Amino acid sequence: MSAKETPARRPDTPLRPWRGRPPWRLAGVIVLVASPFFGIPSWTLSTAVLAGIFGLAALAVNLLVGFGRMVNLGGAAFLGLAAYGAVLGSTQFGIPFTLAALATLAAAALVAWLAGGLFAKLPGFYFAVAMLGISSAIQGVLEAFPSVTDGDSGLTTVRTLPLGIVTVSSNLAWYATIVVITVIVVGAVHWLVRSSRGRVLALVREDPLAASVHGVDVLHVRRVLFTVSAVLAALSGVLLARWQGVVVPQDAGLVQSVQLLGFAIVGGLGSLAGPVLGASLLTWLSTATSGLGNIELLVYGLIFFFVVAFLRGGVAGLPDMVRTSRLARRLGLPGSRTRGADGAALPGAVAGEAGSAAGEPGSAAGEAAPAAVPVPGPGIGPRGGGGSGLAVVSLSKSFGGVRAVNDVSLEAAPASVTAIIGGNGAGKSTVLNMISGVEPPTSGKVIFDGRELSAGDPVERARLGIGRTFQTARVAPDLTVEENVLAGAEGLYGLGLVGRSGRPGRDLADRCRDALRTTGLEHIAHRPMAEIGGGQRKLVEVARALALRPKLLLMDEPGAGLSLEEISVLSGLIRGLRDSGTAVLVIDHNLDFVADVADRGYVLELGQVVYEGDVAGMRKQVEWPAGSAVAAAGRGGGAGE
Amino acid sequence: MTLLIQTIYSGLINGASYGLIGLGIVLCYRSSRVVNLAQGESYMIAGLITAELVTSGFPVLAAAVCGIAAATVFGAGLERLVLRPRLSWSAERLIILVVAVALCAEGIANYAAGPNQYSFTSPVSSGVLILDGAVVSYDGIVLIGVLLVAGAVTSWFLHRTVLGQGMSACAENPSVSSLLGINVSMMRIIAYSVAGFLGGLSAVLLVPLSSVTYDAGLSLTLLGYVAAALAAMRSPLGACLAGLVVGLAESFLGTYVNELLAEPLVLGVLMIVAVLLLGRRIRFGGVVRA
Repeated sequence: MSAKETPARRPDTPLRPWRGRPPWRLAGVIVLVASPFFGIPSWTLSTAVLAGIFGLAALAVNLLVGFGRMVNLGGAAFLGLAAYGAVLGSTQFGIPFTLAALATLAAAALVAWLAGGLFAKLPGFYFAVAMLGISSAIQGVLEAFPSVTDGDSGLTTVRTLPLGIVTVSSNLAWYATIVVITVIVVGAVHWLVRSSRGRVLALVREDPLAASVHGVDVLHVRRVLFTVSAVLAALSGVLLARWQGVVVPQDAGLVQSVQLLGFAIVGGLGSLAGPVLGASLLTWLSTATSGLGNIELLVYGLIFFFVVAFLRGGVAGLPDMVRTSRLARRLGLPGSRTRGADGAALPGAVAGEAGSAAGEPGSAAGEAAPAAVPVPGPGIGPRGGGGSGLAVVSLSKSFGGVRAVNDVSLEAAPASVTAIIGGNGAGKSTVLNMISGVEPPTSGKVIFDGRELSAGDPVERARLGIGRTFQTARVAPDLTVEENVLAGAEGLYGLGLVGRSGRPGRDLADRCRDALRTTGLEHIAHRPMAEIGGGQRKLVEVARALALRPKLLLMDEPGAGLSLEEISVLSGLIRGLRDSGTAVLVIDHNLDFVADVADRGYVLELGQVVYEGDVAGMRKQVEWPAGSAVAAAGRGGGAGE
Repeated sequence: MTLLIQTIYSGLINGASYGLIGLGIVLCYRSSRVVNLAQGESYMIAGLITAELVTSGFPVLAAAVCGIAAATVFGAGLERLVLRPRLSWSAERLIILVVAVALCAEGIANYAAGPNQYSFTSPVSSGVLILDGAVVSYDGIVLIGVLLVAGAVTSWFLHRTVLGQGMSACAENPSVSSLLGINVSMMRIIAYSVAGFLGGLSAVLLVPLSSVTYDAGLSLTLLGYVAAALAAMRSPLGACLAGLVVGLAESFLGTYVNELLAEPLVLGVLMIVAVLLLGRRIRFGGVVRA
């Protein structure tokens, strides 16, 4: 397969729901907005207003859960707090409502920013359960001070919404207001989570570690998401208080939180329309079943369970699910296609392509190799010139009582390829992790361009121009090859929200294209990552690192798992990088690959440097017979691959 | 003095139920890396079923055995029918799934039993001990004893037996463990059954001293989770003791500070402490190893 057969600008395979066709989406929005006038039982204007308000809160939850993979089981915490804040402000202290509402939103932002610093670093379920606890704690506190909050009976307020010159009071006016607010908010969130920011978010979500070595401050991104989500929930809370005319402690509590998560999940996580759809559906259902008494919770629970267990994309993902279903494919419906991410069998044209790419790696790489080798495009060389390269001084690392790395010192000069080899457990990966800031050393220094790097800070290294790849490729499977490469480079520009901003611009796109061309991946640039095999994934990682234009590139066993042709592409690439002035540090246990590209190297054994010098000497050291672990590994690796 | 003893006693018996729930959460986590937020439901199920059976004329002991059996089956069913078909799911999605199961259990209970409070006479003994004016029931003492024994036995099982060490290995790496000849599925189902059994046992002993409603599960799970988290989701005996500490904290705050504020304070403060203790070591959102 060559680039000629597959047009480079092949239309994207729309793997993600947001790539739907706009006319259909517009029609859907119009139908949804008009639906309260259709006379559907229980779906009245007032139900729709409530659904819209809950939709905002569900969107806030979705922002964290769907886009940041931070399971928020306490979504009602900020909703309830803001509802109380706005009502207390306007009734108890006599502040005009609009002012009280704005002050509440600002306070929510501030509190969330501070709390975000604490909670954003909690992984997975720690975050989930912490939020759950906080939400029920807030409900408890609201109940515990009846003198201020009127306890269980709650605070009452007027059911109008003063907006400057007009005051919203009729159901119709409320509905119109909520529709407008929802459209604005969805637009704003769309701006926040799409295009370049969307790609960076996807990388943070799928692989925080890969994101951080590409200069993305993961905690900062999570903190921003947390804050935006809190402000949205607060907005929903303020509106809810005024619409219901009363706020009760349960508004902040456990049940409400689970309900909000239910809206987001039933609607479809990671979708913008989903939370609004989910909130509408479930609010309608709960209004319609409220006469059912005891069975209401059961109906709710069963729907919740069914969607979580069986409908991966929720209601918003249904069209996609139908399109990818076996039935649709058998009937040959237009647009029916594979769910590539699930590794299902590939139908029709896509299968043919995948077959020729995966099945004949020889021809693909074989043809790509001459084009790809050794002259990197103008954008690929390092940023700036010169520099004194990398120096590692007496680096040590202990895990518990085990000294994995002991007093290792080494250097990697610009315009040269330096290798570190050693057997399994020699400490190679630990050394690389410490250099790239993924693990802090127990003692010792890492100096780059004459400047000492702070321990355990991968983001700083990315900004200084240190790139790295991993032993097993760390990529975002939901994105295409090109998007993965772009996401890595865009990471350096931050999320463009708070703090550093700036548009990546044309220059970046050019750089990514150069990187894809140099690695011979141009012909698969628009394929989803999930369809790409292991060897090519590693090349994608290399391309992603190249797009950063690193002055120093750290490579963790780059040759492992690659076909012979892919290895020759890689060797050419590494030489090309060296010739353009980049310092390259390769760790491997495969001496043959290393000997081919390296200028000089180190042999690591039991965490210590046992040899330092040229490649010929390295081979001698490694092949030294008597019981050397590295010798066995070096020969074994060479033979095995 | 009377008030003090009463406060300590009620803190200890509530804490014992938190400890037993926390112990169940630790067991499930160590065998499957899933935080079982439906653990408290086994308490609710056993409590309600026992109460219903007693009301319809069963002897209390037989009813209690049925209740505990139902809770055990619930735990096993959760593992076998809900979790095992979804081994490849991420931890986050599994949490939401388990919450959905908890909601369904509450929904069924609400449908079957309504919003009323249920209780029954103790299957062990309804005798009480008067200590300096404070009323201490034998039931409660048995509950505390059961907690300590369960913690010690579980701890011995996990650390000192081959089977128990296999269970921890399963969670670390299921595929390698099964290659090494450990029956991973069996381990998981044992852990979840035992967790359900412990939840049921605590209901049978604690409900006679208080009452149970259809929605008792989730708040109990939360306090049990605090206990488990304080024990770093690892130590069974630690979870039991942490449960007692949580119960005592709640009881003292309730008696001497503000009754309404006790639970939210305990939840909020201990949750933050527990989570920060655990989260301190974790960087990059949990992905530490390259």
